[in-house]
Amino acid sequence: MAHAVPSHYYLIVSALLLVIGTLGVLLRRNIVVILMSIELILNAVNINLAVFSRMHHQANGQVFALFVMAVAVAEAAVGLGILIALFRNRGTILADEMDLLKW
Amino acid sequence: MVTPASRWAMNADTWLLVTLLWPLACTFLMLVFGWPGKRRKRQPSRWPGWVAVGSVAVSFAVSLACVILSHTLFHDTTGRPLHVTFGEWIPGFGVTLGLMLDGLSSVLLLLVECIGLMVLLYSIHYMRREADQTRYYGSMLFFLAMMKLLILADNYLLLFAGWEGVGLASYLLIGYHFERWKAAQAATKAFVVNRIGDAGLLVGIFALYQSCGSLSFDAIAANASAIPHRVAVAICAALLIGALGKSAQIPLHVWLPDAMEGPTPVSALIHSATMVCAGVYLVARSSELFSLTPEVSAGVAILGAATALFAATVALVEDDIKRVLAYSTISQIGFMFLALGAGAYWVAIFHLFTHAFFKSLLFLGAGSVIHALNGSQNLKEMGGLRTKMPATFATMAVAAGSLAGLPGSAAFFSKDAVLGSVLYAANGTPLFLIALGTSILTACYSGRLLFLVFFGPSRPRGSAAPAHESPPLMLVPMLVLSAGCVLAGFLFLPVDWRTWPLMLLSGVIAITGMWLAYHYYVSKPEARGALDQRFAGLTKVLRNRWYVDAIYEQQIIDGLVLRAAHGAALFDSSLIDGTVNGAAFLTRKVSRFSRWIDRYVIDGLVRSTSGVIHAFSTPARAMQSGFVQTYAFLFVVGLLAALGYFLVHAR
Repeated sequence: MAHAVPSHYYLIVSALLLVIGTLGVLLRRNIVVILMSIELILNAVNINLAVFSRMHHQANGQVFALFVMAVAVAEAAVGLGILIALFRNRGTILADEMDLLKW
Repeated sequence: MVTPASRWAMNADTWLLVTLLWPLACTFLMLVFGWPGKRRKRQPSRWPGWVAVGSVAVSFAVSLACVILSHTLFHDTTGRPLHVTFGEWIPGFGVTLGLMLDGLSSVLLLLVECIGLMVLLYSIHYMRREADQTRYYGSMLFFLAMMKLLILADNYLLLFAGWEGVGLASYLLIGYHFERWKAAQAATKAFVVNRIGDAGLLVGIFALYQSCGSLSFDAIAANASAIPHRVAVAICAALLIGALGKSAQIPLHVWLPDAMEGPTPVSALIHSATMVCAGVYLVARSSELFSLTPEVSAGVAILGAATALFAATVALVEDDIKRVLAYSTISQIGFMFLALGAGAYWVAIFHLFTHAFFKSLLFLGAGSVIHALNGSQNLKEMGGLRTKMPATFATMAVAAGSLAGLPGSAAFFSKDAVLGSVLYAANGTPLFLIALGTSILTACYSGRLLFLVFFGPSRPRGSAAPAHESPPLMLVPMLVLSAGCVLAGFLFLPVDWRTWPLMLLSGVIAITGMWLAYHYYVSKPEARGALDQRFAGLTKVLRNRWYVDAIYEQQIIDGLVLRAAHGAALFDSSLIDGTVNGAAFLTRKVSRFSRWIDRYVIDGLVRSTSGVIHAFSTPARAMQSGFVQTYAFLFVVGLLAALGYFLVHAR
């Protein structure tokens, strides 16, 4: 562990992931891809949690990361379910063809 | 007022009020239910006539009950006059709203009711073809109500109200056929001439109030002697002008002959028997004042005598049967004024009473003849109707005999009483001679009327062939009135033995006059031509009614009225029209301005409000696109902004 990778590298990766995920959420049209981008954001958070957990020699962060993964799985399942219902009703899964939120 | 019903019913006060208000109520109901009537209907409805007759019969019964209950008739000196006061009319002015029933008003009340009942009964058949029944009967009932108000009023102001009311009714009924130009003219003439008299009456009333502080008859009679003499003369003269106008005496007599344009029953009721005698009533009612002013009384007598003579001469040559009767009415009222001027007020009322019977009967008979001849009123087109209309002839003969003063008839006694009162008055001899001469003329023209209509050959030009007797509905009232003509005289028969020579004289005069008429119109009609030639100038003057109407028309209508009309036209076209046009111009300008305000200010405010709201809402609406990614973008932007803020301010 002498040449351990410095912590801020991880943080940079994490920040990149966050930005990529955010941009994906904002810019991609396909809702499947949007969901995947949300996963990227969550993973950025997970990386942060793991990094700070190692930095402070405490296990709480890594445990919390496991929680986040579990919740992310559940969220993905619900999201995909909504997506299928949406597709059946509307025949599309493109986000910019649905402006239902203003009603 | 808590009185048992029986006492209430036996109370003459109540009945007095009922007799006054009942015809008014009937008028009102008739006009309400009959207005505007189904004028297009082919057969006019008959109910208004019967309703009117029924209501007047009721009112007659009520009046009779009143008079009997209050014992005023025949007890005028000892009996207590009946007073009903309904409180103050004008607060602070001292004028009460009250009715009074004494001997004088009792006689007139019953007379008006009786003649009114007969005339209305007669009208049912006579007026059956007229389309507008309710207007006729409504006006007649209104007239009766107003006449009773005039008679029963206990002060001058209320009397004036009745006075104007009968004037209005007279105007309406003269102009009943207002679609005829002459009738409308006559109505206007009657109205205008009466206004002159009314102005005099009004001035008299003002002066009375000024000097007595009250208008009640009783108060004025009590205070009459306290009025300064000159003031009393002025008051009496003013009242006299009013009486002259209403009673068609010289110089205000011109309206009455023209008033014959009204339907014949109207002439019988209003323009001979009742309304035109209101002037006599007024003077008799003010007898306390007039007896204080011998100058004015002398004027009354002189005017009366002049009118009597003047009208009798005109009646002698008139050809229109109704105009003959109209001039005869003027002449007979002149007799009444003569008696008034001589101070014999009761004699005047006596003559009024008998005159009402025979003159209304004469008019009804004339109506019957006119009816039989399909509307012809010209005496020259009549003749020989004696056999065709025996009942009409009989009643007309009674009435004409009464008018002539044949012994035994009602007018014989009353005219005799007039002559006697004039003879015994101070300086009455010249007037007495005039009255005697007038009596001869009266007998002459009444004989002429009777003989021209009923004797001699049937005139070829007239429609005498289909002449027929009138139906019983018209004859019954005439028979009743002819009974009145005979009996009315005995009601107030003077039992004064001194007057018997006078009675003899006037009987001789009446018979002489009738004989003259018989001579010239029946036995020797050819002698009339010579008479006409000898007095051609006089006949011409008489036929033109002494040029009074012509002079009035030239001097007053053409000069004064025309100029006034021009002035009024100028006033109308410049001031009234100017005002109207100016108002229209102003309105247009104002409305244009208000349209501008509306369009640019009000609408502008509304539009700018909505515009502002629109402008502010546009970005907000853009945010609410409904696309999930827009929201996410805004969310991120907000997050970054918050982060940036904390980064800047965290230090």
